[in-house]
Amino acid sequence: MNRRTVLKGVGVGIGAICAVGAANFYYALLEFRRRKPLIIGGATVVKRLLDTRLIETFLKYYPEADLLIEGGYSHGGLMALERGSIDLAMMSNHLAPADKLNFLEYLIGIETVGIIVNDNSVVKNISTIDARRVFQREITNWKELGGPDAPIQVYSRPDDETAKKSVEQVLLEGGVVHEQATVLSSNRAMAEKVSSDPLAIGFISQQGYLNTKEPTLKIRPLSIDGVEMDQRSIGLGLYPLVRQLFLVLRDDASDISKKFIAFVLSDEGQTLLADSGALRVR
Amino acid sequence: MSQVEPKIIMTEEQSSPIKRLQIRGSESVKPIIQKIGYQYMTDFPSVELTLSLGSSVHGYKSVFQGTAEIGMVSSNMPDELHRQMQDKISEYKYTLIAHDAIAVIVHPSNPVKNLTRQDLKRIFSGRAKDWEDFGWDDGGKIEIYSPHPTHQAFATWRRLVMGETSYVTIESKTFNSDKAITQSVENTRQSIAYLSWVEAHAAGSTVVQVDGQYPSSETISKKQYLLSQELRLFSKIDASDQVEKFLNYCVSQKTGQAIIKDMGWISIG
Repeated sequence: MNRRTVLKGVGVGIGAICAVGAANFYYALLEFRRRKPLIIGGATVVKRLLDTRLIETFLKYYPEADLLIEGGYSHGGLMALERGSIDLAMMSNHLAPADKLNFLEYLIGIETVGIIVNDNSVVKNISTIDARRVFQREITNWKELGGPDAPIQVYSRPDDETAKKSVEQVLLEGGVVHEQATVLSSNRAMAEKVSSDPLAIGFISQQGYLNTKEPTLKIRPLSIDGVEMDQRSIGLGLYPLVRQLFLVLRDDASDISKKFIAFVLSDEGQTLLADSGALRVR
Repeated sequence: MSQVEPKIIMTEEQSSPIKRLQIRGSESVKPIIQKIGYQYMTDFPSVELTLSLGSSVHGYKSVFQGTAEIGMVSSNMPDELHRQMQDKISEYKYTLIAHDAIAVIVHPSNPVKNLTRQDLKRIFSGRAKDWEDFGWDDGGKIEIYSPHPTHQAFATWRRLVMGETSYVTIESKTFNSDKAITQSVENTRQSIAYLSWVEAHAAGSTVVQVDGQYPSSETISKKQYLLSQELRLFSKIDASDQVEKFLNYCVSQKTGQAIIKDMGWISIG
């Protein structure tokens, strides 16, 4: 058994890691002596952004890295990091507890979701509470949002899509988008649908919005609680639908772990992150 | 505490003309930096600021480690951190941007005008239960209201009043917003609560003296009022021009300090 099998426990339960114990850790070190192990665990939302061309490109530069990445939860990742079972912990939204003075937290990107409507809609703003009620079908008519007396057409994305997860975790606080919402398969499809339907409401990642922004597509993000979705309010945390993404390492981290962080924060790394939907922070 | 090659990371040439700064730390400083930061980015569109929230310790630690350029701090550096960084501490500096304080509020009909910190500790730890103990004969049982434990004022109150070993009694009722606290105190004759002075002042709440002193912009900025705290930014002395430019913007009377006064907070001079 090695750290790869140990890691499987991170997502499932920390108990598994405890059971394996320190002996395996040292055994694993010996086994990986030649290649440089780099094990990353924690928040799935961060994994989804890293496990793309970003990791592919990193491995091109550092072929000696024996990289494994596994999604789960922020806190599981932190505990595994403390124990030395992983090299880098992925966290979303929160910094590690303040008493962990030996943990370094690098903000690597910000994930943002916009609630979009047709450009011709008279509705310009929505409150967090109303938005929650729209996606759970407690509000079904535009009249209740200051619009025309007409049914709201709610559009959604597949369950594993990042913006959908964000809407459910951040806006709906763990609730789910109502099953009657029409599911669309891509950002492009979402943008086109909302563009062609004056009664539509949907959501899209901020990057997806920027990528699909063209004169022919008539879509517009609503301001939420009076706050516009722009760079300033996203960076300062005024806009509510944001998640800050962190990579955490210990001050005694391996060389390859530091190189990974340096790459993610480099111009190239940040550009790749932005391509997969996060707002760059460096 | 060691740094992880921050030089490699922080000074990397960026191809984009956008300058990005990360600010991190205490929630107490958040409202001010959000307001000033928004105006700053409006005035200088080539700058992007990001704000991550935690505690003052995160502010200090992140600047020491080089994971953020500016730390927001509302309390002194913890001893442990100070010890670890002793040799390097002269390479860092504080920039005072505003003053703040915790105010103690009661119902307008409450005749008690002054409480000592010791009194407050007894009340909020649940050891003193009756207003009679403080000279209000038909005051009855004390109703204790507190901000939610995740609220910054809760941590500040623990530090300045309760001390590390005491907790606010479980008989206290907690609230998520400042507005809920001021309104509940307004409606409940036997109540007592604490919150940021700025919020209490704005709501027109009935404030009591602490150790014989009312909070006011004067007593708070001169620290005569004992539940005062300074809101400061923490940074490297030889930080980039971008950092210095933002710090100057915060302390300038024409920009940052004008915004702080406009918000009803206590400016630095």
